[in-house]
Amino acid sequence: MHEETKAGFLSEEAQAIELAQKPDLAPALRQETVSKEDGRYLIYYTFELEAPVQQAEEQVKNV
Amino acid sequence: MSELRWNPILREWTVTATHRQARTFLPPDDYCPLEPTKPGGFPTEVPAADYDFVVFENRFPSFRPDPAAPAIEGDALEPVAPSKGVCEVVLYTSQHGGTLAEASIPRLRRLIEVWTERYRTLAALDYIDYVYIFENKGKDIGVTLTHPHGQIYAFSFIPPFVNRWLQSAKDYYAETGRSVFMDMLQKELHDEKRIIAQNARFVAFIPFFARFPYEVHIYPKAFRPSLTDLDNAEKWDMAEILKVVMSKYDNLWQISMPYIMLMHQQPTDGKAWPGVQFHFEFLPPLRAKDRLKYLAGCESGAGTFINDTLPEEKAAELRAVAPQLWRLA
Repeated sequence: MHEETKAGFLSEEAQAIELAQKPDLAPALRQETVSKEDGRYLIYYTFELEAPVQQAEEQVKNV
Repeated sequence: MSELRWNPILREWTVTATHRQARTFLPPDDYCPLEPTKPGGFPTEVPAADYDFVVFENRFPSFRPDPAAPAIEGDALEPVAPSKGVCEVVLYTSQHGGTLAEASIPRLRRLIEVWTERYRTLAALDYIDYVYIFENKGKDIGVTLTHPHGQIYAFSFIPPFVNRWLQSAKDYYAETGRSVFMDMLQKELHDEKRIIAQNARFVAFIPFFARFPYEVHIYPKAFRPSLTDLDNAEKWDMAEILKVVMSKYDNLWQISMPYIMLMHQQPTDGKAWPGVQFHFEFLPPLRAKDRLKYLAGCESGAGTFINDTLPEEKAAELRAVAPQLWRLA
């Protein structure tokens, strides 16, 4: 369980875990827009995950 | 049918949207219109078998890009107008169960990228003055579909609450040359006692003037008028603080906390609004595990909120709650 310090800062241990999930790169976003039968639009968003993020997602239990 | 009707007493628009009376209301889990369409199954809103995030125009919108003419004629005292605008639904996942609190920080980071893209795109429409991103979560708050999702209302006018704080921020800036949001933020950072959680670039706190017992605001520490002004590192910290706040909510009573989550930011009307700071507000309707905070006579009729609790005490309570989601610990 994460510990917190004064004024709500996460503990160093918790911050280290969280920082491992924060790569320098922004996620690469792709979008595809389609038209529904009634004319409304629908947009699919997909992301190309960077390797560190994929690794973190597999490792971190709180997913 | 939908139209704007002018209230000359409050000088604000009311939206009529009679078609919304017939919208889908709490369907059974195996008849969710927001899940991907299953082979041989009934058609849902999303034809693809799987997706990361989806945004689509609301089937029962309060505003449309090409609205019909008002069904009733207005006059000089009470004019009417077409309900022009955009109403979108944002699906957080293809899975029917779960909540945003259960999403990983990288997933929240990607959702922030979707929100940013929608803000940028809708802001570029010449008839949109304000882009309002929000989520109603939980039956206590009135959700009609339990699939994890949020909404975006792109207004063709500045809505009244927003207009009120914009004018306030403008007046404060004219009087002091400073942002009222940033002055308030600095006070909260200095006082510390109402802070729930913080990291390098974001802070979550219960404001001094909270209207709801567990009302939490989340601010970037630097001055950032809108989502489009945040850099990558800030968006990662924002994802983290969102995860922590939502986890604390759910941990508090070990229930999935109902709330309204909303974002306020720079209008898109092309006018100068100095001092506007992007921020989140979480408005949970509960004042105890099994007690709702009703918007009764004083709140609904007079507009004055009565908070039965002290923000300093509620902040200490939430600060003491573990930031890792109990269901996954």
